Amino acid sequence: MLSIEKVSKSYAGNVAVDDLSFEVPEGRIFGLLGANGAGKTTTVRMILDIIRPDEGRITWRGEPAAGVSKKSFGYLPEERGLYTDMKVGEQLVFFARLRGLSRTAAEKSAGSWLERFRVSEYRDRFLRELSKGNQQKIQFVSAILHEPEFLILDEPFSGLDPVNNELLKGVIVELKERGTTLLLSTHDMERAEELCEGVALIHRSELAFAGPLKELRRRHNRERKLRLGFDGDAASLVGRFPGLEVLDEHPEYLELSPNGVEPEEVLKEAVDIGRVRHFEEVEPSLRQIFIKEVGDRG
Amino acid sequence: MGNIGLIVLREYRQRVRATSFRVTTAIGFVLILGLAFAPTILNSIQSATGGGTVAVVDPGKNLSPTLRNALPGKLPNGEPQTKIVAVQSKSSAEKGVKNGEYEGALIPSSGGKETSFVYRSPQPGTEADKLRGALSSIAAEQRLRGLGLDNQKIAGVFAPASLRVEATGGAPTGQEFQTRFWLVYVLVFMLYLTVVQYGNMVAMSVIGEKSSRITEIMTASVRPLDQMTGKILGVGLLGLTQYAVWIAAGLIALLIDRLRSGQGSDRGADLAAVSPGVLLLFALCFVLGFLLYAAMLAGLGSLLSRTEDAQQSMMPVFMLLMGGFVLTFVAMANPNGTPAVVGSFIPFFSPLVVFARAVLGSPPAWQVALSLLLLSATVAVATWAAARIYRIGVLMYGKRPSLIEASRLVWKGGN
Repeated sequence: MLSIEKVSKSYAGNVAVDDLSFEVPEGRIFGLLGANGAGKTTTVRMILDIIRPDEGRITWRGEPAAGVSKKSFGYLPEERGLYTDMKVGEQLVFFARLRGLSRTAAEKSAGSWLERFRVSEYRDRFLRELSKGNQQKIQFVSAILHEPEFLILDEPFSGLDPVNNELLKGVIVELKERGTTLLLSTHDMERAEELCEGVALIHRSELAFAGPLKELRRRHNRERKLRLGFDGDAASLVGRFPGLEVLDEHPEYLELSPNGVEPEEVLKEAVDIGRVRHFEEVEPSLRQIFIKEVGDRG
Repeated sequence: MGNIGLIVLREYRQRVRATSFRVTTAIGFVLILGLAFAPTILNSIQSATGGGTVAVVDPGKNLSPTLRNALPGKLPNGEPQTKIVAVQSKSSAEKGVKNGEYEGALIPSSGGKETSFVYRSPQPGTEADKLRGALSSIAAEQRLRGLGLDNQKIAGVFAPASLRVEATGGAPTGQEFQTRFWLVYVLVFMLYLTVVQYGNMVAMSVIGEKSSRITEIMTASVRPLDQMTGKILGVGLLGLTQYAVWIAAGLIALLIDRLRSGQGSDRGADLAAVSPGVLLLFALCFVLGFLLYAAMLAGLGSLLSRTEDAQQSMMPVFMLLMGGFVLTFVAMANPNGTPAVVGSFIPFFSPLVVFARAVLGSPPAWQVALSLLLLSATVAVATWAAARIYRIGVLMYGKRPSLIEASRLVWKGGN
């Protein structure tokens, strides 16, 4: 488990992270969500001991993370950067050896990951000769070559085409299944929703929520919507439930906000007075929850 | 292998493969090797162009043999520097000057008690001076003879005064000083150029990694101090490689020179001034000087995000080195003078000054040792301070920090 306890960091009087606490359970994909400038990158840098927190502590399996991060953690920074004047294979081996791998192990690992990402033919090419997407893949490989226990991916999907997007998603899930703990720092809510089991939501340097995604959803139960495809007197149906509110009149269905009304009651009544073609309870998307959380806090 | 080792190796490999490095090293090698042939080449150039022929209007052939004796200067190929040709008449002499056969014509003109001369030439310059000297001594000899002195007494009059030159202390004298002076001149120049070049390379390497955003991933893997140390050592090793190649060329040149001119020749003795001790001191001065300036430039480089800002910001550092360079020339003219002594205790100047002083002057050993010790201590302090700046600097983008902000980083460690 990665544990962040009461961590704060300021730069020249500007608070970047304020009293942040959350835990990342092992073997899971955990989302670190927040708008641009919320404090995600500062948090990530503190976990990696690139910068030190002013207050609080960060531990991995009970040990201070600063002591283990250089060898046991992997990192794909948002600002990508590798040596463009080095050959792909050479470069991967260099970074893996910095992380404690032997030359032979690094060579072997590089070979298999390049294959997995379908870029083995570039092994002896200079990085500058590769397309941006392929450079991105090499950067990802360099982050995972030493088989880190804990992997931090900062906006890993930015700049990838749909095919490579899927490829990367597959690899991320595969790594999780192998037991790697992943921290996905992103403002891409759709992707986070697909992959993460738990999230920490940072808003303006402070924690807004941390825990399983399910729990976050429960908190936003009231924002569930009903979609009712109904042939009959809709106005009279809605009139029978004080609080029920029409949000949108779609040609195929009505979008309703229950506002405390039980969906079952609405369905029963609808069946009684007309014909129901479609009935669906829609959970709020992570994006909507996020906007709501961020909006409520101003 | 430790992380520093890996970074040293990467830095070194990338740079040693670079075409620019290979070309400059090769050019240096060829030039130094060429030094072995330089005396020969210079001699033949001098032999071909150095001589001049003067026509003397001397139908009786009285003056020309005396004049030849009074002009003993010889070219490397054994020919006289000023060749004297006796001609019959003024007109044939002037015709020869006109068509370029002679450099000038020396024409005696009678009148008064003694013979006077006119030298006519399109470019009277050096030949005129030589002739004036030669004719004066001939005239002096004739006057003495006229006063009734015999040849032996005349020779006594012209004998040079006795002056024995003795150096107090270990400083080289005379010819040796001259040789060493030029040697030091060349080596100090090289020292200055290589410290600038390789110090600049360290700064550019730091800024380059920063602008290509590699530092973020590097800092997640390697301590900043190790990154900086690795970079400095890698580039330093590159500099030493270049020197090794050049020294090899120098040794080959020396060997060729010895084989060609035979043992015990003048030139062999000249080049013996490049003793192992001088080379060792040179290497020490390069290494320490490089480390000092590289640390300063690495710290400075870490504060910059764009290579465009680099030259302007590094200027003050290079000015410091340039100050040392200028002071070294003062020290070379007077190796035991106050500027030389003071300069060898100022670490920013001492790599250059102490080298020149030790080779040309006679500083006490303790002063050289103290100078190197002070320099080493400054290297340690500069590296420490640079590492403190580096740790924060490499993650800072945007505005270039002021001197005060940078000092605060050193003082408080920032973060």
